[in-house]
Amino acid sequence: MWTFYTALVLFVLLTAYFFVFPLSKKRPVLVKHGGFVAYGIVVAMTLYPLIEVRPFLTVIAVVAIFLLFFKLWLVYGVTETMISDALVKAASATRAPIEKLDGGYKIDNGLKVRLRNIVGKVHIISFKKGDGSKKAKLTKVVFKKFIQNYFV
Amino acid sequence: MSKVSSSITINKPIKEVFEYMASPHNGPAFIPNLNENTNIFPEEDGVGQKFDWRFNMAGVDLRGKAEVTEYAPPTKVVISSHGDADSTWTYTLEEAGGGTKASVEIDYELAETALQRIANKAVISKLAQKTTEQMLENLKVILET
Repeated sequence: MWTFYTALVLFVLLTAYFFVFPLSKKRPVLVKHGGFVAYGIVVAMTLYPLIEVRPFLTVIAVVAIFLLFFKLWLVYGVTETMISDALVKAASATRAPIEKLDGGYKIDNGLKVRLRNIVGKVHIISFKKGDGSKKAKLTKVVFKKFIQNYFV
Repeated sequence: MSKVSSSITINKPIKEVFEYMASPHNGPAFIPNLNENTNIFPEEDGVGQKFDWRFNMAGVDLRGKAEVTEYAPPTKVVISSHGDADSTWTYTLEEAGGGTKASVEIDYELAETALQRIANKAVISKLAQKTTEQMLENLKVILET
């Protein structure tokens, strides 16, 4: 039983950290792949005692592994144009070369960034490393800040 | 008041390092946890330039206002800030073997409410030291590569 209560407390804390805090400040939600996996595990642990939902836990586990493998960010609350603008602005701020691709961008001649709109203001941003330079990694950090600077 | 400092050599001319480092527009690109500088006025860098800043430490927003109090191109800039954290940022630059030695010194004091919301003084001190080192590393990455 203590596992369930621990999971429940973690679920409340992570939900507040990922969703409630940013939205209460009218800022977008941005959850990185590691956060997704942690959240997925906690949700699965919390729901496990409910026998009816156990089949769905497998789905949650598969989604969590998928997100960990593909280095995805989930963003809610901004438009695709705003995300593109944030990336271009971040590359400009770090003086990183940026190249427009079909459905995304290439940063510092290596890091490929793909932007996918799921529905409404929900987006998935994926990163595929070619030659992930220090500048590309820094641009990614600044990109995250610039997305979080928008208001929902 | 607490103090942290750090320095690094950047293989770029002193003028280029100064121009990038002294502009509040570039702060969020190289200062870790600084999310944004807004309402920057006037546009031209120099003494009297003011702006609003927003730091994010462990999910907690710290906000305040800053003013450039000393501006001596290409060797020194001093920025004083007030708000959730009162601090003075001193950037000192000197030519070093074809490159530039860039130093940062931060004198800071967190407002008690902000401090209580985050952590104790020892943790804050470590975070501040890490910030100065990381900001200079970032500056080197941006300007050299």
